[in-house]
Amino acid sequence: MEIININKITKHYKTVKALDEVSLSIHEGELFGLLGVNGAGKTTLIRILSGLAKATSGEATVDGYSLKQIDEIKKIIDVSPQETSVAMNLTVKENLEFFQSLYDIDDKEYLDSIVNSFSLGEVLNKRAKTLSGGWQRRLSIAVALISKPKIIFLDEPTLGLDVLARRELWKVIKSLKGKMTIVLTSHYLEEIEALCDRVAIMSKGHLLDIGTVEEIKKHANEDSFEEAFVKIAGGIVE
Amino acid sequence: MKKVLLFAKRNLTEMVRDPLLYIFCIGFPIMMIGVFNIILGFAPEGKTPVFYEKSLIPGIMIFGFSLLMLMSALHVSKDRQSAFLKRLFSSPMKPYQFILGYLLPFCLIGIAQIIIVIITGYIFGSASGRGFVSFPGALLLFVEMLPMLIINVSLGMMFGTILNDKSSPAICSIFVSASGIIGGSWMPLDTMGGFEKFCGYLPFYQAVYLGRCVTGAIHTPVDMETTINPVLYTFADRGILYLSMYLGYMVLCAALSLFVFTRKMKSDIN
Ligand SMILES: Nc1ncnc2c1ncn2[C@@H]1O[C@H](COP(=O)(O)OP(=O)(O)OP(=O)(O)O)[C@@H](O)[C@H]1O
Ligand SMILES: [Mg+2]
Repeated sequence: MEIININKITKHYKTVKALDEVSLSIHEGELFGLLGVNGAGKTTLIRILSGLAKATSGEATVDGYSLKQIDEIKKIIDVSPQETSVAMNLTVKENLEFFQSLYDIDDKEYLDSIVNSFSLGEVLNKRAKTLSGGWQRRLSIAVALISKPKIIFLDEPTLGLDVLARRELWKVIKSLKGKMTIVLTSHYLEEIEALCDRVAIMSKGHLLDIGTVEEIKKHANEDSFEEAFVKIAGGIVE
Repeated sequence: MKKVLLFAKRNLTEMVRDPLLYIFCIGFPIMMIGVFNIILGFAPEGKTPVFYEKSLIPGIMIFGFSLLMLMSALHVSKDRQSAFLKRLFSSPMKPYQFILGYLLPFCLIGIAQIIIVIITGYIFGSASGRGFVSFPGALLLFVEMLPMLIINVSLGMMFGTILNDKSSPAICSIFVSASGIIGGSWMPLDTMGGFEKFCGYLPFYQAVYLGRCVTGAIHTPVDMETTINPVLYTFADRGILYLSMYLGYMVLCAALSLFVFTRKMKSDIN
């Protein structure tokens, strides 16, 4: 079943077309990757689907609600933005509790399980601003999960994480597979390859290709995903 | 309402964990009371009642509020800059919940300021034998100060909404100076004729004047005779005029701030 349906979404900023008639569908429960170089329009697409930006034209439905019913959509989604954003003067625990209550959820067990899977136990009572950038990042993502969303948008989740932390986060994300629909952006090919059920390749506001990693390789007639990506994304004429 | 309280609690917690809050919002006002007591020690007896607790405390309060305005603006602009506010925009929170969630804790801090300054006023007033105000008078003074508190916190939220964390303190510092100077706490406005009249059109002096009516403050003496028979600040004099303008400013500032916040929230989603 399709949980997100995007139909010819276009977004103009004053001088740039951030999205140009992008259409795609995301299935319920899948881990969907948005892959593209800087400025491809990944963040813009997430911002539109989460009510933080308005599309210039086109439409989309999220779990059956149109973008006009954004208040309904907000109840079932959560976003981990590209920039780390948590309440810096609150402790890790207070941050998690704050965001959980914000979505009217009171589930101590679930909170503990999030704390465990992000190994936040040892910093639970530290204020966010005293944590290192990577730890703040983990908290920022954990906070997005704490509301038990039906759909979660992870905008470059592994940005700023070291190799080990990154692998750990991959594990967490994999463990969420099937429990919720996950939309993840990245410009790391190996990340997309390791995690995603299906991928959309974007460049300069256009959707260039969509499918499983295998399908995309086939479309491009290449054996490696990297070669396929370069062929597809690099092939667009200026 | 639950989300208002949740957000308010978060704001209050973050603010009271910032040491600057104590230095600015409580330290400075109390320090100024001390400074004026030192000045009084050097001034000729009875010539500068503007620095007596009865006159001074209402002015110190609005001075404290202006510093609260600064801290409030800083808090909101930091939330915007850290993308924290944007993140909340994608949560199921409504505009009024943001507004009340900000204003409530700001007001609570302001109420704590009023109480602390009144207590300090009692201490200095009785230590010096100059007196301050009766207990019912203190309650009335508390109520009289609330509109000024609302003016300051709503402007604080507004400046935080439209300015970044560099420029919002700069704008607020104009209000800090204005509170002290044209509020009439740093100098005897009642000897300045036309300038006093001008200040009377602004909420700073209105709040202080009405506060002085409550405490029974005395005007600066013009000659030997008025030193012996002091002239009190009275409500009958221009109280009604000042009170109506004062309340008008409160409604105006609150409305402006709500308008700007909701507008900005809409335009941020573009
Ligand atoms: N608020 C804005 N005002 C003007 N232009 C914008 C705005 N936000 C994004 N853009 C432009 O839209 C285009 C797409 O930006 P977007 O942030 O969606 O890209 P992205 O794929 O997320 O890139 P990155 O990998 O760097 O995060 C860029 O050209 C960007 O400059
Ligand atoms: Mg981006």
